[in-house]
Amino acid sequence: MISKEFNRKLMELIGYMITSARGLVDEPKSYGPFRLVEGVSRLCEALLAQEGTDREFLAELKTTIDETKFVLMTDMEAFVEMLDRTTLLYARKLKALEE
Amino acid sequence: MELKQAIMERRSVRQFTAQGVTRAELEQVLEAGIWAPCAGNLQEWEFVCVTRPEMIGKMKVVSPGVFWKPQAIVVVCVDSTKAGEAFGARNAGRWSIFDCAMAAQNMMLRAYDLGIGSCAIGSFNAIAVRELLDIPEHVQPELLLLLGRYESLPKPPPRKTEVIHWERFGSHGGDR
Repeated sequence: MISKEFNRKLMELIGYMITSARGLVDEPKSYGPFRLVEGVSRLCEALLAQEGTDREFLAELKTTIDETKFVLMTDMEAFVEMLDRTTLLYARKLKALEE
Repeated sequence: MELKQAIMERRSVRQFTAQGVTRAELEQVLEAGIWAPCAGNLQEWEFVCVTRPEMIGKMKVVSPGVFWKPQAIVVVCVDSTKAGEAFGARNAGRWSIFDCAMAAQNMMLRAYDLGIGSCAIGSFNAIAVRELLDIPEHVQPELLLLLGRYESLPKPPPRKTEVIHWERFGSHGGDR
């Protein structure tokens, strides 16, 4: 059963993704990875409130993103390093998933 | 507050506290906007000030550049009909953007003077914002100005002094 709150968060995420897609047509190239990873953070937030999700993993993923995402404006290297850490975090989770 | 202090210390604030901004304060900020210089004294701008939390939440959804809810959002718009008639279709957009930018800077400085943080946001969807706020077709939303209280200001990034040229391009003060 999808809660009202979860439904609202998903609706907001849809809005964020649609308007990001349109905005990115005209915005700086570097905003692309930011918008995507911000979308992941928002999806994690929505899923964290749901029963039956891997909260520990989602919380770690969200924290990893949120702690560093804003350095995009000042330190692209640190931003990319965060993306690599996030990817590794996800890959380890994927690897551990039961077939 | 001295003008120089406001210019040097104002920062783009993206994270706001829940503390409110009063109607009287917003009126002062908006007044600063309408006193900005503008091409041909046309005053072709329109300012839509949104304070209702529910609507601010909806605007945030369609504005990827907004990460925390501010207490108010001023949508800085251009009356395209007025601008087109005065400047011609070819130049209307150009002059109007300058005018909006100068009005926004006035408002941000006045906001800082009042202890209110601000951030100019270009990453928003104008079609969606227009629909949400019943903005007519001939009025173009150009910029969102977020306003709200803050706990701390971001650190100032270093400024590039080499962009200042004296007398001729490429001379940075050596032959003054």
